[in-house]
Amino acid sequence: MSDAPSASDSAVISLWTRLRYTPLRDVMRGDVSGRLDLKGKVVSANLPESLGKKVIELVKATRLTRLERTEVADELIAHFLDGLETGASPADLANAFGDVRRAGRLIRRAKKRLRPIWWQTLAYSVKAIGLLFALGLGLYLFTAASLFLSKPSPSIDYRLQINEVAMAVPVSDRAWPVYLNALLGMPEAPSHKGNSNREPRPGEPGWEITETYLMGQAERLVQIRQAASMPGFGFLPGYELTPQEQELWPTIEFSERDIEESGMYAILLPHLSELRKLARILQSDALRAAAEGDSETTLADIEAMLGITRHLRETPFIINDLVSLSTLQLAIDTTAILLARQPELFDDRQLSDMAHRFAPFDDAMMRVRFNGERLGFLDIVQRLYTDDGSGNGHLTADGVRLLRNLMGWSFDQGTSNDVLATLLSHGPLLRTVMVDRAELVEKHDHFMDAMDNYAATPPWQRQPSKSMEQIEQWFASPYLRIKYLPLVTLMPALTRAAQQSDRVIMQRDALLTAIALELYRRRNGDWPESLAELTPGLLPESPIDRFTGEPLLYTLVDDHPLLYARGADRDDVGGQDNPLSNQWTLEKSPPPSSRPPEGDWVLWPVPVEPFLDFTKAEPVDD
Amino acid sequence: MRVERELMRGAGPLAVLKLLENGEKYGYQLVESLAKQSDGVLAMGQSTLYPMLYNLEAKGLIRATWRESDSKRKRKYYCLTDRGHKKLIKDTQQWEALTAAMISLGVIAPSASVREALT
Repeated sequence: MSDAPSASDSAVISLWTRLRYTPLRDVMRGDVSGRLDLKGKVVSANLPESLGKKVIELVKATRLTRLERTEVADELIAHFLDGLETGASPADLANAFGDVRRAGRLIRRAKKRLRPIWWQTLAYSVKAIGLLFALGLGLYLFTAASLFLSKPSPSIDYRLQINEVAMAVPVSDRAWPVYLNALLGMPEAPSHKGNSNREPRPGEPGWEITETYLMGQAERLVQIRQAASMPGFGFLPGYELTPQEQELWPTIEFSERDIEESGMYAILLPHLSELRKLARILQSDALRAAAEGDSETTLADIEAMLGITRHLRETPFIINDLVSLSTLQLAIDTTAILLARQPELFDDRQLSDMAHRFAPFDDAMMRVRFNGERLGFLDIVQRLYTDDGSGNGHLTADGVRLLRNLMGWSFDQGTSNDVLATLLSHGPLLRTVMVDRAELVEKHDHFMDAMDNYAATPPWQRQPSKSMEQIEQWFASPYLRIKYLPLVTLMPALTRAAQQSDRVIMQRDALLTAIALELYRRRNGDWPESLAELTPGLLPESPIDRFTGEPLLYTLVDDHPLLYARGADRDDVGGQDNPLSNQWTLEKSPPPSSRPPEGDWVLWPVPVEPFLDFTKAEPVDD
Repeated sequence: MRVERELMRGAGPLAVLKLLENGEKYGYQLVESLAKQSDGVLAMGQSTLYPMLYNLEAKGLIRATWRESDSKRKRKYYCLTDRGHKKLIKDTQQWEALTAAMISLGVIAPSASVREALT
């Protein structure tokens, strides 16, 4: 049996070969032309072998498309045939041809220029995309290398600066150990807040339990008052807990490593809630004592609340100042309630003394400070970035981890911001988008300076903070939020904090005015016609409405004084109280999109629920 | 004499355009004409000519057409386009200016006709 192909096999092979060398467009037309078969062309042209090789060698060197090669081959074959027809020898023609590789390169270049515009556009686009991709990949690799190969080098222990004041307090003058001693000896206070979100007061359901508790803690209350009267506080946040502190907070585990990794954002401030709790207990005790006609104890409790207020401000974090404002407000509320419902509890000396106790808690003392936040942010920065020695540096892998920890609330849930989650999980991308160290610090300084200026400006002259608006804009933009991620994430609502201090100061001013009014009534038998009659004898100056910058409004209604501010709408409606009016922004130009609540903010007399049992109260002689 | 590549790069395309001025020609014809009419000065191998032709075609200065010749073989004929004509005129003027400048500098000796015109 022969292995030679039969005639029909040859026909099939020939057809298959032709099909292989036929352009698709020809096949579509039903023409199996086989015109891409270069060797076939050379053979069928009867070219001498040396010239045929030259043609094949050249078209291969062009590295063009098969159609283009065929066209070049056709032309070269025609060229050599023309030469042979004129009598030139194959050797002469081959010699005259020139360098094949150079010709291939030049023909390729020229033929590519002949390609259609769409092809050239596509080719350039593909090249451009490829180039961009390569550049991006290179940048990514470079960024990844710089991210993972570098480490932050925190060199400043900002805890020392935060605790500078507390550390300067002599050990014997420190109140915290005394508070701590009292706290360790006190059982948990009963809590029956009910719907009013406050402790029960004399005459209210649950008061008996509170009263019993207070009576049982008389000794501890003496300790607390003693602590509150001490010159310094002396609590050092960010350092290892003492055994006594550990006993008070058994679930808190201090870790120096947490501080090293997360900086001051790992600092816990559990003492704040403890002091706030003590202030509430003091308030209950002041009301208890007042109900029993014990004005001296009442005064001592109020004074202790003021002492706690002062101690809380020893560490310059915003949260300290806000808790301090809340304890001041407790003291103001307690005094205002008693003054409204039980004015005769205090004699003139006590009232005057009380006014002098509250007087130092003015705007300058109680203004919310941003120093702690400044230092805390710088501490974070030195843990996010490298330090090039001139204030700049780039994000590090440790920094990305820290950011992830700080933002764990949104990243782990992974639903609120997928772009952010992706960038945070791919450090090099975040490193590319996020600002460098110098710019971040510069922006932060700029914002904090602006906020210091904002807080120092009287509220009636304040414009809405451009800085906070910008941060809100950054927060709304996916790109800018990531670019300024630490700023956007860690910047607290500073304007609100600043305004909170204004509200409390206004209440403190009103309380001092109410004390002066009461003293005036006692001396003159009636209320003054205007606040001007109080100054300067009973009041150094008229209190200011911090919404408008003008004096608070005063009138007599049914022979009783009414002291009020115009409220958020800046309109005087005769003292019609709207409790919402004091929750509005104190800025000069409130947001145009929303209308401030109408009505005034009545500061005196404060609304007092009928809770006090006065039966035990003893009248005080003038 | 062989012309250096840099000079050939400027002169070659103009020479090809000039050869096509009077009618279409195919590749081998151009090679032959260049060699004969320039006494071999502008002779160029196919490795130079064909890339040059493709470049001129890409620039729209010449147009190529495959056609059957008298010998019943297919050949690719090149002819000038309108743009090619304009380019030829412009480049010729530039070469004339260049030649005049070279003569005035003494780089090129003026031909008899030019000498006559100068005297």
